[in-house]
Amino acid sequence: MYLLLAIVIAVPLIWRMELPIIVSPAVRGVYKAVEKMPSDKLAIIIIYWGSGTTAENRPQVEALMRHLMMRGKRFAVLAFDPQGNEFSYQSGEQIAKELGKTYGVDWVQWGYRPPANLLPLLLSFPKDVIGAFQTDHKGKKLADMPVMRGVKDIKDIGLLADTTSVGELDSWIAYVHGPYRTPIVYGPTAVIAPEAFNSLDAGQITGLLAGMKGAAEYEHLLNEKGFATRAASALSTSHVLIIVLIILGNIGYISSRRRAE
Amino acid sequence: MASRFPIFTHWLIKPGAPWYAWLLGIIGDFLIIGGAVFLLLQLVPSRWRKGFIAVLTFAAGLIYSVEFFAPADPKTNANLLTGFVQQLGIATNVVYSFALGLGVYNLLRFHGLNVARKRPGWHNNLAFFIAFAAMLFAGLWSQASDAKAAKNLYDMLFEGIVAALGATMFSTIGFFIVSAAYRAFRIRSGEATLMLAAAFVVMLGQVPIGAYLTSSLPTSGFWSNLRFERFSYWILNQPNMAAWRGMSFGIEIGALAMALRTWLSLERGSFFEKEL
Repeated sequence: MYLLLAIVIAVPLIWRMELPIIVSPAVRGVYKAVEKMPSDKLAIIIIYWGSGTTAENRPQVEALMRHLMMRGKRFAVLAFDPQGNEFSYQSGEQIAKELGKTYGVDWVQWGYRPPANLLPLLLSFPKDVIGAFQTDHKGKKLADMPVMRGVKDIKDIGLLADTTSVGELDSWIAYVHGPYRTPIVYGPTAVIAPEAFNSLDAGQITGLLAGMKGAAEYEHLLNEKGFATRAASALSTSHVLIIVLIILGNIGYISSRRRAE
Repeated sequence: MASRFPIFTHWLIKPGAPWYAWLLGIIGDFLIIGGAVFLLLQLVPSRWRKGFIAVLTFAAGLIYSVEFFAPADPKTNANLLTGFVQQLGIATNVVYSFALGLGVYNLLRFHGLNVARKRPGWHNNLAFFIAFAAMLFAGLWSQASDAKAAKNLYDMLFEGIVAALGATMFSTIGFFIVSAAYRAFRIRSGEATLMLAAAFVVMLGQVPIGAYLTSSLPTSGFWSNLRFERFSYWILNQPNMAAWRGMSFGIEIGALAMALRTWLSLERGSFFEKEL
C-alpha cells in the first residue's frame, strides 16, 4: 500500500498532468489584498515553518513574493524558524534575480527571531519598526536600507502575510489587527486551515491560502506554473487513493459484519 | 526609542569603539545586572522569596498591560512605558539565546557521556558530534568567506541533508494517514456516516480532481452548489466554522483564566511550587 501511494504521488510529478484549478474566494482575497496595498507601505511576510512543511508553505511564500515584486511593492521577511529563514531568503533571492529586483531596495530579510519572542515583538514593533528589529539577517542596519524608507510604525505597514505550520494567527489578530487594523492574509498548512475560516468570516483576515492547494490557486491567478501547480495533480491522485481505500475498507467492514450476523 | 533607556555599556563605551569592547561591555552589563539580581535573591529570606518572585512576576506583567491600555501621545504614538516594552523585547531575545546555549550544552553532555562510556548505540551519539561539527564548520565558513566551496558545502549540508531529512520525516505522516484512513473511517453509525460523507466532499474539494469530476455542473444557480469545490467550501465556511468558533470560546476563556492565575501567582503544582 505504501508503494502504491509512492507511485500515485510520483507519477503525476514525473509525467505532468493538467487538471483544472478553480480559485476560491479565500485565495482571491489574498490576491486583492496585495493589489490594494499602497505602494508606499511595506508588507511583512512572516515565516513560521521549517523543512517539514516546506512543500506547502514555500510555494505560498514564493507566490506572495512574486506578486509583491511584480507590482513593485516592498516587503520584509520575518522568520520564527531558522530553517524557514534560510528557505525564504533563497526563494527571495531567486525571484528577485528573475524579476530584476534588488535586496535592500525592494525587499529585505529581517531574519530569524526565537518563537518565544513573538509576544514581546508583537507589542513593541507596531510602535517602532526599525527599533524592534534593528538589523537584517546579516547584521546590516535597517535604518540605512532604502527598503525601509518612510517606515516608522505600524501605520507604514500595508500588509501582514502570515505563513505558518503552527497556527499563531490569533496573536497577530489580537495584538496587531485588533488595535491597528493592519490587513492580514494567512497561509497555513492544509491541516490547520479549517481553523482560519472563523477569522476569515469575521474579516480579521482578508484572505486565506490553504496549504499547497491555496498556493496552486494563487499561482493560477499570477499565470505562473510553479511547484504548487505541478504538485496539485499529485495531491489529487493521493486523495483519490485514500478515498478508494476508505471505500474498500468499508466494503470489507460491511461484509465481515454480515458474515458475523 | 531604544537609546532613551541606555544600559551601562552606553556610558562606558563610545561610538566607534572596536567590536570586542562592545562585546565585553555587554557581557559586563549582564554580569552586573544578573549578579545584582542573584545577590538580592540570596539576601531575601527564603520565606519571603516566593512573595518577592510573585511581586516581580506581577510587575513584569503589569508593564505590558498598562502599556497596552494606557493612551498614547498621538504625535509619537507612544506612552510612558513604550520605551520599556522595546527594551524588554530585546532583553527577552537575549534570555532566549541563553536557552540555545543551554540546549547545545545538554546535547554535548548527553551524547559525550554515551560515547565516553561506550553505552549501547554509542555510534549514534558519535554521529551527532560529526553532524554538529560539520554543520558548525560549514555555517561559520560560509559566513566568513565568499568562496564558492564554502557556499556549496553549506548548501549541500543544509538543502541536501538537513532540509531533505526534515521533509522526509514529515512526509512519512502521509503514509500513516493512508493506512489509518481506511481503518478509521468506518460506517459504524449515522454520525460516522455523516462524518465520512463530509470528509469525502472536503477531500475532493481540496484538490483539482474534485473540480474536474463536477465540472459538468453549471457554474451558477442551484446546481452549482453541488460542485465539489463549492460544497467543500460551504462545509468549511459554515458547519466547520460554527463548531470551531464554539470550541474557541471555551479555549480562550480557559486561556484567560490560566493567564490570570499565572500572573497573580495563584497557579499551583508542577513548575510553580513542586520540584519536578
